[in-house]
Amino acid sequence: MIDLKAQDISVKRGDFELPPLSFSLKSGELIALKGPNGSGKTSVLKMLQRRLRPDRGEISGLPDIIGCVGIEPTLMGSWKVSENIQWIESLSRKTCDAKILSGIEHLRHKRFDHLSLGWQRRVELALFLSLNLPLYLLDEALSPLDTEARLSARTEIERMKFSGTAFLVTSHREGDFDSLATRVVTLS
Amino acid sequence: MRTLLQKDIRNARFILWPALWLGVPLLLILQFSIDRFSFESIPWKTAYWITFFFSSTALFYRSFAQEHRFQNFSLYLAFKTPRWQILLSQMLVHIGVLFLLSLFYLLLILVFWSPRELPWVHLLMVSIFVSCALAPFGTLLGLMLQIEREFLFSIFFMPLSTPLVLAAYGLSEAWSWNWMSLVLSFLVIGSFLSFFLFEFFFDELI
Repeated sequence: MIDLKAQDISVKRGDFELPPLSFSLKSGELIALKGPNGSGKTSVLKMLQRRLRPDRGEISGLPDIIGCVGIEPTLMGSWKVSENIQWIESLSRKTCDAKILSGIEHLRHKRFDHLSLGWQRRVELALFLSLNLPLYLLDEALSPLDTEARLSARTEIERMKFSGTAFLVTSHREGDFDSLATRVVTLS
Repeated sequence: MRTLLQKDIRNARFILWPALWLGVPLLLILQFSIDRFSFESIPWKTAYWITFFFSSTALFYRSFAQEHRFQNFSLYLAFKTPRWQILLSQMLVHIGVLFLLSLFYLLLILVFWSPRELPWVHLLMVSIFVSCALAPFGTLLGLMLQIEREFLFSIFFMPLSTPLVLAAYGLSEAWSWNWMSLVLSFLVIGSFLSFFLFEFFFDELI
């Protein structure tokens, strides 16, 4: 069960300063972070990913394993997709849901860095979503996808949300997560 | 831990080849460097240890460069992978790759210097012993200097490892307690510093 609380978190990096931000996220909820470029959406996700320490405020209720897609590339470029699947499975000590991975079955023997950006993202999304983790941070995760893949990923996220997974997402595209969002947090 | 070790072994080819590309030409240059008065080439033991230490700079720098390139640090944070496991796995693979390098360089020594006798077992044992002392210290420095250029690594690494080069040369002549204690001190201090400072520099890097 996820009961994540961010209380007045803020961070300063050079000229940029994220004003204090508070929100809570529970299992089965999806929070959409909105705001223009440079408003601090990725910084918020990085703080939740433990990559960035907030200068002020605190974050509680983070699970041990978090699924992150889009913040940084997360798979080994020089490895095959099947090797990456094994690597992520054994590092997370979870087993992938074969049904979700069926969409990338034909790519198993290809090197990850030989795939197009769109297919790389599809592999990352399928792989991390198939681990069925309690919390996902998705940073513009659907941006490089074509319409069909976006709809398919959205349907999977919706299904997982209803089965109790928590999501914190960012997207500049209207309609990606608008109807799925439990709350919208706007950064100025 | 096994997962990290498998990953590092699989990625070892990315550090073994650059180290060899750095070491083999150096070894050949040293072989062709002849003293113009005595017409003798550089002693093979000197050439072996200079090459061994110099090529290890590519090894230590590049293993964390691989991790950095694939953003593995983000994954370790998201999956809360214990830092000591990352360090230990890297150190063990470094020792293994250093052993392979020493084996390869000794073969080249045999071909190009043709020494009257080459105490293989003794030299390989000294190489493993020295590798164990070098690995914690080199692994930590490899992580620390990841944000800098690769050539800077040698500038920091070579002066710091000079006592170890001397000890390695001394031990390849014969086992001596003085040199062994120097290598052991490197091992103990290097391990201690690595385990205590690794987390700090890991957080700094991300």
